[in-house]
Amino acid sequence: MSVALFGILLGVFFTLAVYTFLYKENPYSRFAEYVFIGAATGYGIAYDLDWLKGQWVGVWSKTIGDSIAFVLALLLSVLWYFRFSKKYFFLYRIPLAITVGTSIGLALRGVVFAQVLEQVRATAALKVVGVDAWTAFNNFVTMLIVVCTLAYFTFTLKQEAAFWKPVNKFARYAMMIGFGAAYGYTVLTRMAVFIGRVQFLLGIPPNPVEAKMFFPWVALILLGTLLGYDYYKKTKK
Amino acid sequence: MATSRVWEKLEALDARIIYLILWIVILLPFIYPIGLPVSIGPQALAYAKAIDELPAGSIVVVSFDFSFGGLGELYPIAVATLHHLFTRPVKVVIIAIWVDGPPIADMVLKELKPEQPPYNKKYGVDWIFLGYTPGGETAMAALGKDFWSTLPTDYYYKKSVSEYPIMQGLRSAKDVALLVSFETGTPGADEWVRQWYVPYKVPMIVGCIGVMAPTIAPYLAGGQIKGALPGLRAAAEYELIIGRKGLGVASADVLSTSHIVFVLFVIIGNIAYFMRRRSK
Amino acid sequence: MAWFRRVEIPIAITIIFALIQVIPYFVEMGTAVEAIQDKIVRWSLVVGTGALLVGLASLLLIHVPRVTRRRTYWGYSLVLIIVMFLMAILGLPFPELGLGLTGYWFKFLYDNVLVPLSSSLYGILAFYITSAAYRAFKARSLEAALLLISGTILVLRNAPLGTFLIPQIADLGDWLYNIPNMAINRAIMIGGGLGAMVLGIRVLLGYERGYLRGGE
Repeated sequence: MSVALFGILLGVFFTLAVYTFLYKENPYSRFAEYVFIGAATGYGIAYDLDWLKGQWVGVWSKTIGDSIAFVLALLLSVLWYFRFSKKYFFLYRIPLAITVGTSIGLALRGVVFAQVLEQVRATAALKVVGVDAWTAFNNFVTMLIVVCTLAYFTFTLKQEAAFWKPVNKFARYAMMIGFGAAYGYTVLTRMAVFIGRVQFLLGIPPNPVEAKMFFPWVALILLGTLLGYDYYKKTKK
Repeated sequence: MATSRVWEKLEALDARIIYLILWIVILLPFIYPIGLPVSIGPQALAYAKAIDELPAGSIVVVSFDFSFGGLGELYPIAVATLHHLFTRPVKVVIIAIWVDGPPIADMVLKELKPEQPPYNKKYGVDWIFLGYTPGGETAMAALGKDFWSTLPTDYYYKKSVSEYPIMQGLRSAKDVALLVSFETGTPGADEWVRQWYVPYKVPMIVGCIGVMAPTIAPYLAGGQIKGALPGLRAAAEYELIIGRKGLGVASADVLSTSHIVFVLFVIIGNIAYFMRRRSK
Repeated sequence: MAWFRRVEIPIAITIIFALIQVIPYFVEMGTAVEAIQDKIVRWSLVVGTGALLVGLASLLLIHVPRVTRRRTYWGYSLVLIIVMFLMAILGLPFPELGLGLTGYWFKFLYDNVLVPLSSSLYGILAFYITSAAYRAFKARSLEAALLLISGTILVLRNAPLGTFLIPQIADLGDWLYNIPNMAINRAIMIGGGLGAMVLGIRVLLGYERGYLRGGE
């Protein structure tokens, strides 16, 4: 068997090993889980180191000042390890403060426009007059839902006044309809991911066609051993 | 009482029976295809239009911002989008903000082979693959400011980006005519809008998994995102628009069977629930 | 407490680094300041890379004692450690040694081990969502009924058979997506945006310290 073919066999085995979990937790699925955690972590580290090397070679090694800054950054990044020390935990807070500070600063400057002002502007710009009746209705419903949902979340206290009751009720109903749409799309994603795996198992191009050859045998062996072992245990009792 | 027990039993159906039925309805259409037509919606049309309307010579940045878990939906979207881009006289710069992105981009490029006909695109001139930048939103901001410093070398040959003709026209987000992002979550659309749309007004289109579709709706309605392909159904629609059938169209039948069976399960579950209550 | 252990130091660092990004964005300060600001963003990315290695350390802290003390499932832990190091070493950026992200064996492992495992693990959710829908997705109240109806319409909208049998379902599904769904998500976005701004301002003022918690 060539290495490439063995690779496809591995892919089929790991795919089916994960799905044996549907029968019940078993050594195959457990093995798959542990291999996944190990592989994913190792993979992430490899990519990080590659990017770091690229940064050093391509950018920071050009001048002495930059080189010092890069080494300092690396030293600071080592301080992340003090996450696990109670005594030196204060050192871990330094790289954390640098990354949190920068990312909060970056997010803060964008969030005002993208998530607040632009969205308020887009809602306020909706026309209810001077457009056709259907658009006017849709725009009115949109504005109503936005305002009521915002009120529902913002004024969570002191809503005893009779005025709030219909507002809250409307917001709740609108949210349920909206979340229904989200639910429909969630179903799509869940199915699609599994469909992707089935396409792999059946060797539908661009997946390797050889997978189709391994699929029934590996499935038989995995299921057979699991069911067989359970039957053996049952009869032994 | 006896009928109540039947409904109770039906309600408490062994989950493994449901799993088995799902396996069957997802496997069967691949063995016996039905070939149902897929109607095309306005979202896929808007997405395709954004690419069609790009002026010749524009720089398009394509970012692979998804995990391997999103392959089922986003692989067909990525293949179809890059095919569409490679058939147009535009320059394509491929990057990744998610660590799983580069190998996926590599898979897509291996399938399409941009150097060969019908595309005949030259690496480094018409397209380039720059690889991954860690840091999420911070990385997006850094790329927006300065591509050369944030990704100093390319992914395949580890050569300085300054040596490639395509990169002479790309220093910052200001030079980008369109951003295409394939996404499974955060960082994704929110962060791109904050770091690329707000300061540089870079037009953006998004291919995303279905789960993300509801959250990008306000950006679509507000015009910050020009078009979106939310999930596998939209992937099939887009493949039909551009005339290259791939895994999206191949999944159309199985989408039908899996979704219809899902609805049937919901209906049966509800009937069992109401009948049990009634017979009590 | 020694002065260098005080929590005020990281708070001050956070504020300084956040302000470096915020102030020149709103106040014109010239290209020189912008260049420094840009460099600091990239510098902080380098500092941030160490965080992933913490993931490695925490996995080792959990799994190495399991192996050395032969605890339950220690064999699996050993596999985890071996695979983790194998993957990281094969991907080291030394192409001259045959290693690296585009190296044969690194690619072999992610193609045939990581990709199948990662996508299959997500794929298993298809089964759980179906069985959960069968058990729990019921019209117990008006709210639940609305969720159920709207959800079912969208499920049918995404199935080619649904739009083939009932063509109107496409328009209805798109309306649900573009109007109620968009509107509630916009409200959530505005609310979330305001919340993020308040959080950011609290950090800038030094009131928000949750992220620094831990230690002695």
